[in-house]
Amino acid sequence: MIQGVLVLDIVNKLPAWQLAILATLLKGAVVLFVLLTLAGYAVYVERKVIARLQNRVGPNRAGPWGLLQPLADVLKLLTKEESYPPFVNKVLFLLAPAIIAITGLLGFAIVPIGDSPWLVISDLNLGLLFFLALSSLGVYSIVLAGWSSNSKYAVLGGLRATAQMISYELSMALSLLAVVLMAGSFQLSQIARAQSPVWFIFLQPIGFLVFLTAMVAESRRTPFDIPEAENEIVAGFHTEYSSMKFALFFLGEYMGIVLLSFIISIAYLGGWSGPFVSGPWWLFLKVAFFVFFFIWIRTTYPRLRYDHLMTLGWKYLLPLSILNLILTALLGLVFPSLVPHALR
Amino acid sequence: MTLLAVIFYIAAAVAILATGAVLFARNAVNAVLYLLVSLFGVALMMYSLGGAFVAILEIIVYAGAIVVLFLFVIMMLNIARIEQHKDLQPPTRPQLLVPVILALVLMADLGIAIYAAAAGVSSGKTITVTAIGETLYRQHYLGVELASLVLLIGLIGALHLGSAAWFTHQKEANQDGTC
Repeated sequence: MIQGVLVLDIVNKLPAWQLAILATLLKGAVVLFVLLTLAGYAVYVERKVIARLQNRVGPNRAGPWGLLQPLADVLKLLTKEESYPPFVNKVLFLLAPAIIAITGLLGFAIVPIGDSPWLVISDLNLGLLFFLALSSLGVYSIVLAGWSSNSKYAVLGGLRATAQMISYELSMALSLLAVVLMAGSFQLSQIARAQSPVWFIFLQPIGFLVFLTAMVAESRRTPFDIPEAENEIVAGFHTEYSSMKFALFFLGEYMGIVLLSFIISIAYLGGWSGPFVSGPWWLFLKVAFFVFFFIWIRTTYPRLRYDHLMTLGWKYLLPLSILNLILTALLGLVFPSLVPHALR
Repeated sequence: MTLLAVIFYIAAAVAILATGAVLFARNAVNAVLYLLVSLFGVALMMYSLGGAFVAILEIIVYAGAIVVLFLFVIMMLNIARIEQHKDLQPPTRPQLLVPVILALVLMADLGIAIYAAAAGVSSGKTITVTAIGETLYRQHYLGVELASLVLLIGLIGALHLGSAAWFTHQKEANQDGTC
């Protein structure tokens, strides 16, 4: 009790900028802790849900209902041998998994979970652009992993992933731009607030569908998992990876899923707003639904063929998202009352 | 010196060093990665001058799209080692004339711009997205239109080259009797 008062006393005497740094560090630490735990349990949930959908039981040995399975998995990964295959480019080989983990985790810095400056690490003015920049930098991880592994399967996986992610990033960014037009801001909290009467999913149905599709393609999961198609190219870009470096790729993938779920919930489903009492719980519920959605379609749809993937991206999604953007701008000009938040 | 000024000079030094490394790298993939570092340096310079929007666009467009495409092509063609092609003659003096003149004009232009703006380079003010939009689409719309026209011409040229190659390939395939 006395120690607590002492700490408060010291905190109160700090100048404002030091307090701001301290608050940011604390928020960052909490988010990091929650996210790293969440990544492990996302794997658990995925295995359980897929098992349920396929009439199996799923992991049930470690702890009650298999709840300790993520812990066992992490321990196993940590104690595995850290290996470098011969002929790899060591610096880039190590850099690749680090990049995907960093870009995956850094994205959460801009995600607001509630209507208060305390519930976001850093509410950037250009938050949405920061997210897009991070997701386009994440491609480097896969390209470099594919190239530095010096293995034909890894190179093929890297090439496929690059082509896929560049194609779908465009539609993703363009559909988000229509949201920015409606909200009049790149700031995520501002975008969430702009949806207080009507969520953007009702005003931007085309944009929502394009983003939803591009989002799954961007996370490289079934039915868009051509970069790691097991029965063609072993495991794609991470064929040569083992132990902790492999775990970082896994972490990056699941962080990507959670981050994309947050972004789509904030950009189209009103963020933390909901019936009865608005608050972070509504946002978490929406995010949980989208994480489930990712798992759900993984078990439902088979993998796309490569040319179908490219056709879908360039011939359907891209023109649709451009059309959506032009329509939004035109409607906003003709009926200004539809977009009350837009800048003029 | 403010913190932003310190960041500016560090970023500038990194950008210049990395650009030098691009020129002297023996390995094409390393050269592209140095180019990436240089682009990050330039983005940080923009940020320290108050242009956060320009900085983040630099990263999205150049680092996130264009350099990835360079890497993609290098990986696909597997040309990691830069070799001196024997059939590639060094350019003769008359051929060098136009590029040298263009480079001199560019450098003179740059020198004049730096000299004219020397007083107010680092105002420390943040440039808003709205201000950039006003400048581009109200004051310099002619330049924007011209640039888009140039891009359109480039697009048509690329389409022509690509489809011409595709058509000859199809023709040859048909003559061979294979598909």
